[in-house]
Amino acid sequence: MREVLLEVVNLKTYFYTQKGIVKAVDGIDLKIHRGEILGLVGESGCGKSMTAYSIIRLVPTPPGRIVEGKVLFEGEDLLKKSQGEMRTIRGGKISMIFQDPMSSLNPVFKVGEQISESIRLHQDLRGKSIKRRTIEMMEIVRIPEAVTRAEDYPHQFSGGMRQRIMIAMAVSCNPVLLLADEPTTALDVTIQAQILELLGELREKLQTSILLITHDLGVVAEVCDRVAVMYCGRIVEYGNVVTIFREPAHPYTKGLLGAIPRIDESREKLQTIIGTVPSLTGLMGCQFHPRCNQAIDICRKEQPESRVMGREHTVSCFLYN
Amino acid sequence: MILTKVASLWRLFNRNRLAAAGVYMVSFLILIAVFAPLLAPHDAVEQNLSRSCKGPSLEYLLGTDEFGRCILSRILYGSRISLTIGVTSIGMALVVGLFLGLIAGYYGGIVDGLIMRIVDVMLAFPYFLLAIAIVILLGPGIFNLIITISIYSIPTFARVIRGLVLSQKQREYIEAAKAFGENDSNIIFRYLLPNCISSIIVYSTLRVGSAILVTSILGFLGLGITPPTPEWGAMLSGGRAYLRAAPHIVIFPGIAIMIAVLGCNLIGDGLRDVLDPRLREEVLK
Repeated sequence: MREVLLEVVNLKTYFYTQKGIVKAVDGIDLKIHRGEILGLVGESGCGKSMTAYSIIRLVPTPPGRIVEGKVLFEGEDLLKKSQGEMRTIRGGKISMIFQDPMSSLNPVFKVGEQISESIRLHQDLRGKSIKRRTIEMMEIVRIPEAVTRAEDYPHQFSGGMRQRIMIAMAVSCNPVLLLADEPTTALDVTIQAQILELLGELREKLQTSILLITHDLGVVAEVCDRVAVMYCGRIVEYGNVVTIFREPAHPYTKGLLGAIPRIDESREKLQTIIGTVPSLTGLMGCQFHPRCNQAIDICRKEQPESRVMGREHTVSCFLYN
Repeated sequence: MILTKVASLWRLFNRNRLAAAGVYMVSFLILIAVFAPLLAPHDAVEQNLSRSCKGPSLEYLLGTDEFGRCILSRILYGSRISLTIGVTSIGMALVVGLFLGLIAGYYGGIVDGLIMRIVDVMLAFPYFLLAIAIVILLGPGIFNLIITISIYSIPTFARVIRGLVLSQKQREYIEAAKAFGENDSNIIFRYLLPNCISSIIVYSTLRVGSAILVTSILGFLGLGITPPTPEWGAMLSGGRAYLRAAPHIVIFPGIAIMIAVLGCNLIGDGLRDVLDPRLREEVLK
């Protein structure tokens, strides 16, 4: 077993709005080992992105606030660090890539300058060597004619190319952890595959651990080692990618998998999960019970605890008591 | 390097005929202002009542005013005052407004509330009352006029810049900058400001035009420059009693004001097209 790089313990991030407290992240536990890709899966609005923002302490405050928990990164609690210390960690040891490559680059600077800037912020390089490193990074993410392209502005690149630039910026300082917030959602399928391949390659080359946030189970199956399924601010199931796909335990995971078309089966209709994600303000019992077709009495009253199902497989559901 | 950049900007500018016309108008006025002593055919303040209210003639190309002063010379010298006041007052307002707007927009919360409420109060204050109050307090004169106009312009600058910052702040690249460990001042000066700067420049050039107009209005009301210093607004004001008998006394300074304001506005519009890297490509096509 590899060393644990990041351990999130009972993390709670709440938003204090006029309508009440929104529990975007409600007591989650996560572990990422060195060199591992962990998939964080869930529907829109289930708190996936907020988990990532909480890890690097970029939750918009107010209205959001991290109320409880620990984020142990290389043994140190990030929640106890000062903003100054966090700034050296962000983009240095932990960096992040975003969903929309079209809007996550600064439109008025050349892309080369932007990559150089992130190198300058965290590495002790100067002048020519920054330039060299910039070109090198652009070549690593396979941008053709890197030297001339470095002089171009973001709007002169396609979406896929911009995402490569973002990745180049994010990995330019050899981060040990990369938070990828739906990095392929805004791209079309062929480009998606290329970007995922690139992420996999970077993991091999640089030994970077990746937290891959996505709602696409196909993406998870392709690149992840382990999966955490998130629903309404909680992790409902966690396990090895093979286990989760072969023997899903939680009704929600089963529902998600049932909603994917498969090439080796002929089905008239895809299964759907009835209803939609409830609003994150206050619901008694298991958050999934209103949509669960196997819900029993206790589900409406109490919160299920997380239970060990097998090796590296946990689930939070009363069906397995 | 910088020269080639300016040259290519000028090429772009030239494609827009109106903007180029604006540049010609304003450069014309700047040349006039610089070389006024060489160009002026007569003394701008010397009175001679025996030749008052004469129409344009060969000796006095634009005629004479009610005190027999050469209107051409007065307009030439007046350009110095109008341009100085227009540019410096807007420059001062820009610096202060930029500071307030960036801080309010970026930090939000209490800082924003405080700055914007002060701005609201200033906006709610009747402008000419403010001008009268300042002139009474500080006394008339060019410098006090500059102060008056910049105080008047600061709140609108702060407002506009705050709005620009707010719209940029929500963009994902600001979030990304934070995720790469940028600090606040870098985010403000390397991300927010460069992305707002083209709109700010456009707005400023437009405001230079209106500052020139305001100078004239204050001059017309007798709140601006003290006579006999030649000032376009004061010239209008002085000539209005003789509007029927000698319309040229007001027409020529009026045209001068129009050229200055129009030129600034045309440049402002042209700059907007040239400064945006996305629009720039469209212009080039």
